[in-house]
Amino acid sequence: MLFNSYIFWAFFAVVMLLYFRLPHKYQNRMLLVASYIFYGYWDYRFLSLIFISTVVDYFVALNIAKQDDAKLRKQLLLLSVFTNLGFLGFFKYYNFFSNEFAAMLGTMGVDVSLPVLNIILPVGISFYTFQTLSYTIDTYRNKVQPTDKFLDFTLYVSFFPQLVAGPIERASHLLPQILQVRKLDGPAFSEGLFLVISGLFKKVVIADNMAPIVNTIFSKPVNELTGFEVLVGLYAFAFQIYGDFSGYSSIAKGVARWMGFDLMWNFRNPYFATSPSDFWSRWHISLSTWIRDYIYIPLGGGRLGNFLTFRNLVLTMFLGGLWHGAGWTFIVWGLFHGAILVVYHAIEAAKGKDYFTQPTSLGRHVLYVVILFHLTCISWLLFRAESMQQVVDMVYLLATDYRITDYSIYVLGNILFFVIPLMFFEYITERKNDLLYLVSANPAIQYVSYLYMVLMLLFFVPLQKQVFIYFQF
Amino acid sequence: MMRAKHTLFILIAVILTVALLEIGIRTFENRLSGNLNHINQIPNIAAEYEQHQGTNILFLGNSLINEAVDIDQLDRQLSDDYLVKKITPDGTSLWDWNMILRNNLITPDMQLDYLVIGFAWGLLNDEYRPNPSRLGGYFSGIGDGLLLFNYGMSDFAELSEFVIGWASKLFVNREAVRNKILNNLVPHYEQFVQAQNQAGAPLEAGDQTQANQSMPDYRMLNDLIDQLDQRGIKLIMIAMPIEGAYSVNQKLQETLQTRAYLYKDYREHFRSFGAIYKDGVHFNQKGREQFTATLGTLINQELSGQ
Repeated sequence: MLFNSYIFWAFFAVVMLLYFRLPHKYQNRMLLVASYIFYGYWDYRFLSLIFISTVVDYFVALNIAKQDDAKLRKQLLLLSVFTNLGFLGFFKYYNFFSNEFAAMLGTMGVDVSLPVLNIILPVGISFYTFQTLSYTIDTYRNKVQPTDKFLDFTLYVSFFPQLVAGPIERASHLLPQILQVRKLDGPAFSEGLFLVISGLFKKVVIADNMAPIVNTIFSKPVNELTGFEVLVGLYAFAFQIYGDFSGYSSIAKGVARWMGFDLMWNFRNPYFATSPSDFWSRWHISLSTWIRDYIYIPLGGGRLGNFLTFRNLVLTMFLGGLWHGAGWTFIVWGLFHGAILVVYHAIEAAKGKDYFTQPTSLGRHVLYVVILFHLTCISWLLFRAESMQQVVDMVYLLATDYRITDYSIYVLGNILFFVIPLMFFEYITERKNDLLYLVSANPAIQYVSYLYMVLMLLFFVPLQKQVFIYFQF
Repeated sequence: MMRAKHTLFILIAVILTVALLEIGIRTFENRLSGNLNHINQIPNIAAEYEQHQGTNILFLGNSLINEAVDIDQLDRQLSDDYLVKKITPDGTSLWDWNMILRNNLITPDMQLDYLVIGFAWGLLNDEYRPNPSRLGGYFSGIGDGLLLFNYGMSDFAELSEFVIGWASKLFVNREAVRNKILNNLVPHYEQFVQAQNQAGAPLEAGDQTQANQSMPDYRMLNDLIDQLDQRGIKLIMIAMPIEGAYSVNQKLQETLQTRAYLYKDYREHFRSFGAIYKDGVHFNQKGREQFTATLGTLINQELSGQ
């Protein structure tokens, strides 16, 4: 059930109708059933995976909290880690690693044929696995008091607005909202409306209109492209993936808001970032904070001197790349981000911590934003390319071929038409430091903005429906 | 609470504005495109048949037939007894033709004698996906929903689009509005969108045909022929020529040969005439003249001789 499908909104209408007629306890039961229906609509067989993760982590967390024996606590935590990462590893990484292992042995002269499994990647497994894992880890760290209410915990793991593509919610934030009576007030309606409409706009108008352009450029043989076409194709993909993922997150947050929940922000105007660390504090925030809290900081974070900080950054981003997909392009994507984080950290170490975050002039600020945006676009090439060979060929074109063609002008025209109004709006929210600026803006601005989004949703939805990119993760 | 009230007022204002636009588009939709103007002429064409006392012939199809048949040339070739018209909305298939006929031309007062349908690829298959919003907006009423559901338009998204299309002309015409705006604002829009469509459309149609070759269903076609038989309307089916090739499967051939009044397979018929296509699918002026002349001869020989 996609957020941009009619069936989802029919489903959600029924959920809301029931939701407002039920007391808190039964609201939670109904949401749990709805969440399992929502997920089962894709493939009911994978409901068992969520349920096993839920049962294991429910009992593990309760027993960790009861245990004083440090060794036993650790063993229980490892049980949770191995169960969750075991599912993830099997479904997501088995084929990749077995192929690569066989290829490596092949280069050493050992010819082996490891079995390749014909398995589908369960939708959202990377998201709910990390969410439920954070619960047991936080319980182990005594940061969360586990709940003994099994059904409420089950709802925490499977809450449908954020089940398949996040935000990856921490138990400390979402679980209390499930356990306590939720307040359904006026701001919830206004904020939910803004989040849902702007989310649909970003997904359906921006991302889905960029998709055919990106698909054309990435499916053409490289010798039929020019460097400038590759560049504008990368711009298009930058806005496609942003519109797609931030749109999904926004709809998830809005839908939850209408039910009285407050999910975390997953995006904060990322293309206005001035440095890589600034970018990661604005892009897929729930994953970057997860990786920070459960990988980067335990590795030592930035406390152990420059060399180890750099190692930690690269290692963390390598794992971040691997989280996105089992493929060399994703691994190199992670390493590329690790590398630019290291370079920026090194510059900050030499020039001062605020060198990029507090530029001395507007000109410098704009320059930093533009440079980082282009570095991000290079990383998107790694993210979108079908193979490393395609990456190499396209980078070569980018560096050597600046011919402006009719097609590149057409692509730029599309980008300007669809993206500029969004970027202008984000510039205002950035200046005002208020992502919900429109909710409290003056009525004329609200009217014009909503009318614009509604009309764009009416007229500029491509006939070809696109699935959400992040569902594959 | 104040904020929610505020938002509600803005929401109502937005809805009212959209409603005004809906009224506007209903008033001026004929100016949006020639195709819409043509669709809105269908009741008038039907009325002409009602009044005409001679032999009534209707050509039905999409742009394949539209670009292939020159009505003026045909009029010159045929005697004054004939009234020949064509109904050829762009991008339509049997789903649309079926509803156009049921709602406009297969009526008790109608005097239609011959119906000529030109098709290609899988346009006659039930499995060929319709444009639900256009069906709802122009070719059928909400009451036809059940019939369309029975023919296989049972997907929730298709049914939703059918209902929204029935309710809103803004929604049905979203593509025409989109094309008009983008054509004015984005350089080379028409060139690259047409290239994209030409690259995708025949392929898509071919894919649909191929996908359905294993188990094609012609329930809608058979039901339509039943309806035409009951009214005494003679059906002439033409497999249209295009520059490339497409297959007409055994089941369809048998259906058309046994059930249609006349079935003409013109797929290979015009190969010897040289350059007669403007885009590989539609005829150019020369192709149109040749095709229309062939039709004129066919009508004179086959129909006058009966």
